[in-house]
Amino acid sequence: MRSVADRLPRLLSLVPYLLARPGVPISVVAADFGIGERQLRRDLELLWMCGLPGYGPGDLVDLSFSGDTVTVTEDAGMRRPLRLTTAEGTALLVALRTLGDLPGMVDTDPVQRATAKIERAVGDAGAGGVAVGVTEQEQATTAVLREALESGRAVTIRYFTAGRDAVSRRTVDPMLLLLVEGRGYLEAWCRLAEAVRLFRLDRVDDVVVLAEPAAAPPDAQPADVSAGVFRPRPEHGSAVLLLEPRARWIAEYYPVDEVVELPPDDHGDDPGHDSADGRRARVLLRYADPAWLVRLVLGLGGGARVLEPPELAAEVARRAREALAGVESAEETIGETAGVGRP
Amino acid sequence: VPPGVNLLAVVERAVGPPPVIGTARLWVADGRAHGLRRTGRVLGRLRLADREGDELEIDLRSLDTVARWVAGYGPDVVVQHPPELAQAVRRGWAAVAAAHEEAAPERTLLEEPTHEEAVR
Repeated sequence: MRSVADRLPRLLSLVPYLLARPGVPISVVAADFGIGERQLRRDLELLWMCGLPGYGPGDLVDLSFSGDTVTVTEDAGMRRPLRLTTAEGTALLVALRTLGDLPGMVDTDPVQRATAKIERAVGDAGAGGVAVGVTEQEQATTAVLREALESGRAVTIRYFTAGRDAVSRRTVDPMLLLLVEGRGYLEAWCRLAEAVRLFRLDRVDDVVVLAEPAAAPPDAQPADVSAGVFRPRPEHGSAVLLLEPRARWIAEYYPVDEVVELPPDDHGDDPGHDSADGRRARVLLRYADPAWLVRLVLGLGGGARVLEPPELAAEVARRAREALAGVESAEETIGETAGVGRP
Repeated sequence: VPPGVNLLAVVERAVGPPPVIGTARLWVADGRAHGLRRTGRVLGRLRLADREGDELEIDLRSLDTVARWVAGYGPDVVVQHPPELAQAVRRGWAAVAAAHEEAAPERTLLEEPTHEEAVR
């Protein structure tokens, strides 16, 4: 495979190179391309077979050898610069950007260089480039992780666990980069957890490739992500939430069970959403950490109410009231300090 | 496509992250709100109402999204700027408290949470 990847670009560059240097000695060409003369002659023999459909004389690349020099006598149109129509250019751009936005899957560097070139070539139609989804940091993380995978090294990552709202440093043995539901993940043996874990690439804040080789246990089983990344486990808790129409997105965004549609609230609790889709819902939501659920509900401004379990509802109420009290005492502090006149 | 319409810009507005419209300053308690900390810049140490913490600056894109996110951390954060964000977060907490009133009836004034409780 390597030789094809090397040879095709060389064949494509040979014609313009030779066109610019009629009668150049074979030895010079070989030296310029960093190959042996035998390989060069094989390349030239192959070029001789290349050309445009029709494949008659005049359609094929023709070369004339004279002693130890070579000249292109017929370039089969390769002198013509490549011109893309706007439609062709746009199609290429869309394809390239889709490739480039796949987190973790593609070496984004060449993709981006190609995108930039075509954008310039397409001109106005490609102006104002669209960058969607993947941040620069995630791309950098992905590049380093791919390097570690290719060289078979272990890595130390600083990882943010959203469920526990904690940042930890851990050494992992990379196994695979994968894409699930539009997000990039690293699958690795986590030495801290002593298990296979999926790490979301946009939550990897720092990667250091170690000198030591990756050593996932041979029996480490890849995760089954066919049903999504979140796999309910027996030790997970579950809560029943009442979702107002404005918080209905929760039911689509997080894996929930038992969605029960309810008629709109009589009290008009959610003004502006009394249309046909303004229905409330009762859902069962599973969670690994109760603190995560408390944070979720606390951020929804009453859009979600915890119906069960009662102790979680009480915790949400307590946190909300504490937060309100905290703001008040903070304001008093600031007021006092301002009155005294802080230096 | 009508003349003068930039389709790519339309797509970007629809699916891309909204542009940064400003910055927000928050106080975050020590050892808390790691999700906020990792996206923000620490401006310095700040002691607020007898609690130690950091002053944090974060990019503000959508007021609603940031308000929802910040409010999730409850008493571990206090929005200092801008006032619209502080108000949105405060309103959110008041609505959460009201929605969960039955679950945990508010204590009388005599039993207001103390700072010791808040710190915990």
